[in-house]
Amino acid sequence: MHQLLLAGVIVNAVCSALMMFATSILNPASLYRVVLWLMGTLSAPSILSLIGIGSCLLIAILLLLRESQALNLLAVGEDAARSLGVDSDRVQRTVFLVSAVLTGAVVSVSGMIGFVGMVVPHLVRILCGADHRLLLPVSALGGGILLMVADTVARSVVAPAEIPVGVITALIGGPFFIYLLMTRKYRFFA
Amino acid sequence: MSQQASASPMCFPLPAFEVRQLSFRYDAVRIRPFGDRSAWVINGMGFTVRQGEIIGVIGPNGSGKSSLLKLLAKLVRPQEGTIRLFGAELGALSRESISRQVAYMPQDLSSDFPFSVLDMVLMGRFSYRRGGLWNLVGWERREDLAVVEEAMAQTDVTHLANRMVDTLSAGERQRVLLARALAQVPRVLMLDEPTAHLDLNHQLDVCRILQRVHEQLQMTVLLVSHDINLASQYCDRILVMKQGAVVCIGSPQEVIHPRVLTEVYGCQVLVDEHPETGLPRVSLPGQDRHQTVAVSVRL
Repeated sequence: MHQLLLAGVIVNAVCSALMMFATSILNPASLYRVVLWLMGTLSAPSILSLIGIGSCLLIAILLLLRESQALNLLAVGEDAARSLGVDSDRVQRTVFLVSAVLTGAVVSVSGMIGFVGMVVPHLVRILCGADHRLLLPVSALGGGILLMVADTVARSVVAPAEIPVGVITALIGGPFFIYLLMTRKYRFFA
Repeated sequence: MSQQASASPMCFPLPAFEVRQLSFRYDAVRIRPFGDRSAWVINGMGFTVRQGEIIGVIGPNGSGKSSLLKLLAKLVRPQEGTIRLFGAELGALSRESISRQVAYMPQDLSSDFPFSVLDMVLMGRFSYRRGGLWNLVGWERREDLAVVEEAMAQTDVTHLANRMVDTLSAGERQRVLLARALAQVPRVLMLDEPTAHLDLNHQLDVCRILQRVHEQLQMTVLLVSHDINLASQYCDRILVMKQGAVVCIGSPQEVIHPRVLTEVYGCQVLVDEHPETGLPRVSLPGQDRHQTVAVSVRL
């Protein structure tokens, strides 16, 4: 698992470098919008982009739900899952690809809004168990609800000005995640 | 007593497993121009598992017993040789169709996620699930629940259904694993050290359940164990392995012999008869009294 964490850190570093390069060559007019996007904002998505991520979301949810029982089995160990009939290579490929595309689609519209995806699934797992057939749809709804609440807060605390919603989710999510890490006994990155 | 098992002819009924010239090593990716013999985990094995028998696999640590089970469950692919499952080439069968015929019970159940015992046993029904648009998620059907209920009753874990698996004792975990294997309704049951961490009472439990299942369902059982006495008591035939090859295969009386065991394990052993069943029983040679005293004094 350390390998996965390290890989994440490295990909993050490379992508930040690319992002810095991209922002450095921008003209000042579009720079402001890019900075807003980087902070995460739900302010003005166009109808077209909403339709775009809406359809992405629908297809992704259907594909992931189809693999949800296989994900349950993989959570108990890859050898066990394969002996029970899971084509683990295919399932892993599908799930990685679908979630990567979905994340890309969503982030392209909303910008970087952190911690929702890290906190909500763990919270849902505490509330309604580890069964991915329930976990996936409930997490999707729960993530939406959390984001809506955070956005409401972001728009109202310093109204008429607006805080980037990513600030709110990180402020809620960071401490909560540390609390989870300290109290829950199951491993998070397993 | 020699390596003649692979020569057995195809007979009726079809053998559960027919293994020929099987060779396997883990570093399959790296190509070595001059084959390093020591790297082979399984080295030219050949044997037949008859339908409806209990066959035990024994051998020293690192002799390839667990790897053999993984090969038979198609968890790893061999570099050479063929495995036939009821006459069909194992490599050509899909994972789902294998898991409807072969249940592989791993050494221990590891789960970092809070699954209940019932969830865990229901996982045995995975290869029977029917998807489709109306049940995309793959919820269990009534017949799945009936099979699972039966399996749980057989292994005596019905009362644990709502417990979380990480709160179970080793004996209970082993029975849950067995229930999950039975929920697959397999024709062959493969077990990797089913009694490894169990006390005497639970060892007996697991063995009795195994025997009952074997008798009631005519299930073929393939059992890897370090416990030669257990293999002797419950197995129709025993396969002795050393360094990835078959040393001999035969009934407990034929195989459990001081000469064979000394050759395989490299230490002196005593073989006598079990007081009740008359089957061979293995003991290690007794300690020298004086040595024991000396040790205890030093302590």
